[in-house]
Amino acid sequence: MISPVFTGIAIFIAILMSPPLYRVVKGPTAFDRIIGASLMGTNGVLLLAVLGFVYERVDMFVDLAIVYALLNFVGIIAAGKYMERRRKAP
Amino acid sequence: MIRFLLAAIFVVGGLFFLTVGSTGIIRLPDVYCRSHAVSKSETLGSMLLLGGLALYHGFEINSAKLVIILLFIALTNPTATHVIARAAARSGLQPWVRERRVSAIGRGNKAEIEQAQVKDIIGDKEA
Repeated sequence: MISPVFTGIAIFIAILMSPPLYRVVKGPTAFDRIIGASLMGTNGVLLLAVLGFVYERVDMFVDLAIVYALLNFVGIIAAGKYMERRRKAP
Repeated sequence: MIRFLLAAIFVVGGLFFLTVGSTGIIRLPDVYCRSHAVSKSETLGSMLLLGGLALYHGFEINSAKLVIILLFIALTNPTATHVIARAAARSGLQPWVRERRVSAIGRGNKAEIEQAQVKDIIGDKEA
């Protein structure tokens, strides 16, 4: 029995992932794109946590959400450090 | 029963703050303003939503894992946003200012730039 309330919450979070996707595609600088990717990753963690309640397999999906949160953090830190350039000398 | 009511309130509040964060990243004009929207409202919305889910699930090992995700997001989301904003500042990305100051900077007149900054702070009324 799939709960309609949690299905609605999951669909809502999936819709909330589209404005950061617009920012990733359209963003003027690379930092806008990284921030959009970070927001999409956070929303993905929440979507996984809610999907566990939708399918009533919380024990499996919670571990997936933990791994996704760790990988998201490491990836964003690496991208931020990579894009950081020294200012050109005047 | 009071537990489910509290969980529903937490989840609805979390969805509200997630909506605020997603609106902020599409409406705000600059990478610094957008990092403001991402770091604060997104963190609060995630914490409220995960706390509501853990409260709904009850006292169990899986809700302990949900609380672990909550603490991890509360630690790492502002950290990642701060790293990105610092990288943008160190790369020489100028913050967004109003049009008047931008045109004054473009003309390169130093006195005019300072006057535009003062006008931006105190408003248009002539003192």
